[in-house]
Amino acid sequence: MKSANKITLTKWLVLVGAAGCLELIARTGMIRRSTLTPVSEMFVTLWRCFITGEIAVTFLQGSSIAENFFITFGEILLSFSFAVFVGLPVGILLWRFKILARILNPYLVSYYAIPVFALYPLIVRFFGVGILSITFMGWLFAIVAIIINTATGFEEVDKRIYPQVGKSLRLSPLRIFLWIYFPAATPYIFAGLKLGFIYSIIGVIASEFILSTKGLGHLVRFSYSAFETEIMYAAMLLIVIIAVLVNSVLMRMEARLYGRQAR
Amino acid sequence: MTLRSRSELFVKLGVTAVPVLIILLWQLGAALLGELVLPSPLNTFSVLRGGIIENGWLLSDLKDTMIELGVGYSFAVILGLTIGFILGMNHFLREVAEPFVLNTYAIPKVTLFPIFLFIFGLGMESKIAFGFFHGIFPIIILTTSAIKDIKNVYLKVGRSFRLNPLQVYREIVFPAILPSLMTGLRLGFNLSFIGVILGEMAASKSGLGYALMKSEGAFYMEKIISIVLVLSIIAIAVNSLCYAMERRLSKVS
Repeated sequence: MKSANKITLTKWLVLVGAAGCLELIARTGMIRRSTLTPVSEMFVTLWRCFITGEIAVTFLQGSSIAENFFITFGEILLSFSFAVFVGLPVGILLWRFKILARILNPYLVSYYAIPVFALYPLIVRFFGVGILSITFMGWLFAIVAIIINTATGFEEVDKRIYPQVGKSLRLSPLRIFLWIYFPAATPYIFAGLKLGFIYSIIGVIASEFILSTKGLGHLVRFSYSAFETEIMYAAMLLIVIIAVLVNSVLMRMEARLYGRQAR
Repeated sequence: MTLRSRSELFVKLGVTAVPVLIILLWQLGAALLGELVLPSPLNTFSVLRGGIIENGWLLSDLKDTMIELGVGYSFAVILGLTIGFILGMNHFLREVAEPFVLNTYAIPKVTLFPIFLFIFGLGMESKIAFGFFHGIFPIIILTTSAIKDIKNVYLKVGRSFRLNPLQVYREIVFPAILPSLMTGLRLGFNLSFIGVILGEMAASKSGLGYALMKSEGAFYMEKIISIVLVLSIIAIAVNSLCYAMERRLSKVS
């Protein structure tokens, strides 16, 4: 218990110390204001842009950080939901038809090796610059993680005794699937969904950064090119906060889910 | 036995059929949409061949990308292994570093790219640093967990044989962590590659990612598809090689 406290304390000390160093470097003018804003001002700017909206309006020609945030948020949700709607059934299909799984396996495994973002210029060519292309990139990035984990999850249940129990209880195939396979595969499926959601976030924001006209990723890019360093750091901070928050919540949920399975 | 070898054959046929099917679909799409929207495979391959052999429009960008990737990845390997070793040996440092390492993994790192531009400028240095920044995390994570998970029994055996520390490393620690070390190095390569390409796409003066975004004029669709093909081939070649090594290593140990 005592060493756990020490660890938590050190973590926060490291975080606060790093932020403090950056603050000091920026405040003393070792690095110019046009390159690095003090950390405290990043928070202030974020607050003023996001909550009160007083800075952003003139800079972004009427659209606030909040508006860009909601656009990005919508693209992430959209791409993730489509990835789930397609990925879960395809994963189940690969589990039901082993031949198909064995044929596609080499391709699925090496999928994340390919720099998927290289496809973005092609996709923009077909769908134009906008929500459709960006959502498609998020989908493309997320779906394979969901497919692989779903298929693996169900295969793992096959190796256990649970399905035999269902058969000896003369459950119908549908009930075996719903009451036995699905719950038993949940940890794997959830791991896939977690990864998929994070990949959706990365796919969407990275695409916005490379080429788009709206969204948080675009905001960073645009304020960088417009030498609006303060707004750039505020938007970066917002993205980092969102990613860390989502990641921590999902990790905690996962730990709970696995914990229940282990018991 | 015959049934099994027949299904084996079927799978092999299926695996080779996938790229053939893709090329057929591509050809069909090109026929339906027209050469201007989607160039046919044949035309694309001839542009790709020209880029490598005849006029070499692809080679100088390819060279720059490979240099950036090589340097960035090497730094990621050296520092990643070192940090991973330290974190694996020291419980306290590991616990402190874990949330930072795992959370950085989830951040869309490309939005931090302007910081790299501030520090390293528009040239190749910023891409090298960005590739390094992408690749180092999986190497740290997998090295750390590999060292942490070495079975205590192995070390006890080493002690009962009175091995000196150097021998312990060479005979016990190194063979035990090698398979997951390889996985970490492979994932690190993939992420370094993505980092370099993303950096080039975002802001650069050369490289394949830059060529992807700046392709225009005659045959620009052919060029974009050619670059995607070249990138995919590099990625798949390196990964298949690593994957084969990983499987051999885990069989041995």
